[in-house]
Amino acid sequence: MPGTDEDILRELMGRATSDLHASPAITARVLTRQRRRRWRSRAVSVAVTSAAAGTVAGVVASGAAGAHSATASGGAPGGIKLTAAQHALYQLSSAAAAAPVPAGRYVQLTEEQSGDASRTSVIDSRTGDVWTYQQGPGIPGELPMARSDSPTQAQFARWPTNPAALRMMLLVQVKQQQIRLQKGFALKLSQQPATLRQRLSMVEAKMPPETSYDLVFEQATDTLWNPLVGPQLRAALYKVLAETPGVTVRTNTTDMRGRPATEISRVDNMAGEITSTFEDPATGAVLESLFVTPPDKVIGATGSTDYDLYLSITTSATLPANPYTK
Amino acid sequence: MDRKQTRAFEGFVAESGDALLRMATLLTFDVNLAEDIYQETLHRLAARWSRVAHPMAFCRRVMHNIVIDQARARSRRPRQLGLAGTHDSCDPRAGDPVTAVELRPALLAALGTLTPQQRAIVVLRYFDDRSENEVADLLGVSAGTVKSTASRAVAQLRAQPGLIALFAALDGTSTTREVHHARY
Repeated sequence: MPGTDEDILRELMGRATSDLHASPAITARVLTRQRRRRWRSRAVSVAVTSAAAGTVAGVVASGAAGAHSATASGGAPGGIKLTAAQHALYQLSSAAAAAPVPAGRYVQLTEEQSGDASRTSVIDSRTGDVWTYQQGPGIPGELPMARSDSPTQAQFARWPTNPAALRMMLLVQVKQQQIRLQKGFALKLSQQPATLRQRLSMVEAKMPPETSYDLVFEQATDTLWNPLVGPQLRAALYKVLAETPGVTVRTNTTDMRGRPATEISRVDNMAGEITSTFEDPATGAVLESLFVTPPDKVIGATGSTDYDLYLSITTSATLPANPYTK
Repeated sequence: MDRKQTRAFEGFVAESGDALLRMATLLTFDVNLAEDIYQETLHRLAARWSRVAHPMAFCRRVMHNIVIDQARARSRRPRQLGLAGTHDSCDPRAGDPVTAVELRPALLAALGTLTPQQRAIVVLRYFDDRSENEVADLLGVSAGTVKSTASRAVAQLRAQPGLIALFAALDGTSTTREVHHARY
């Protein structure tokens, strides 16, 4: 029974808010935005350290010259029978290679996202600066401009288009970031409350390791959405996916908007997350990204389904205004 | 965040999300605004997850900073805030909806009469159960200031018309139902 005024106030505040529960949709939205940022930081960090990446790519290219001579030529492996999935991915690769290069300094990408959010990203193809405008419940209308947040068009153009070298570069991008992140992780875990620490340790123990195929698929699909990726690099990314075990491809399907699409998906070995990306079979452009995360009873995380639906890509010579404040 | 860290982040939110949202509600005395602040806090936490050693402490500080920033913005451009939030009666986790929904308007209205700093001190001391030293450290004031401010704020709340009856009802052998009746 409360005694002092302070105890009564404690009781009142507890009771008056006891029915308020944080929506899992908010967590999902936060993680979706974080996923995009994760990709950007990886790609930018490697763009900045392009000398190191170039070394790795060179070693791989020369080391792989014999084993991957067929793929190094840029076409389908000669004399090797392609699976239906690989065949579809090589078709996408050809379509992407033939797509026109967007002209104009500022590239405007309009999206619809989970949670009834509309989003327009404007990327400066020369500097990588990104402006983000949003419209939807519970989200800020404009995010602070992120300077050099994306690789520039010129930086993308320097990425290797040899599939073996590109695969290694994608792997380096993920590994570099993982090393940075893992340095602080053990320390953080040790400082969590005992109950949470125990549960997270259980999760870590039961999680199988993320394979290099998981990482390459994740990074390749995270790269494809960026409209600054040029035709040759986009074509090479599809070839990388064609050589990644576990990738499933569904042709003649549609995205959430009913647009004709080829669906590429894969189940992540570690978290069981299913990542799907829907591509325009005529141009190789990404139409939709879909992330399905299963629930985890151990840590109490509910499952989630998040999507990014890409509606349009336009270019202009001048910086476009916030489209939602017209 | 890599996938392992994403799981850790989800675990933290599953463990602490409700408490953070409730704290945001008391700090802002507005349920809808609290959701915005809760989300923004999670965004900032997620962006720095690998570098934050104590996520809960980080969230407390971020929330306080956002609330202070918004209070300054409001003082420049007055804005009408709704006091009562919506309650999802279908939520199977809802604890005592009658008590919560009916107590909340009076409590939030009373909290709204405090300054942002008073409110932060009251919420951190008596809702989040932080010590005077912890609150002082978080807000960048002395422990003495926390003690005196808390004392004045509690007295001010106790004198609020909407809370007088509630304090009286709880200052004895009252039950939830009696608190409800005292309110109405």
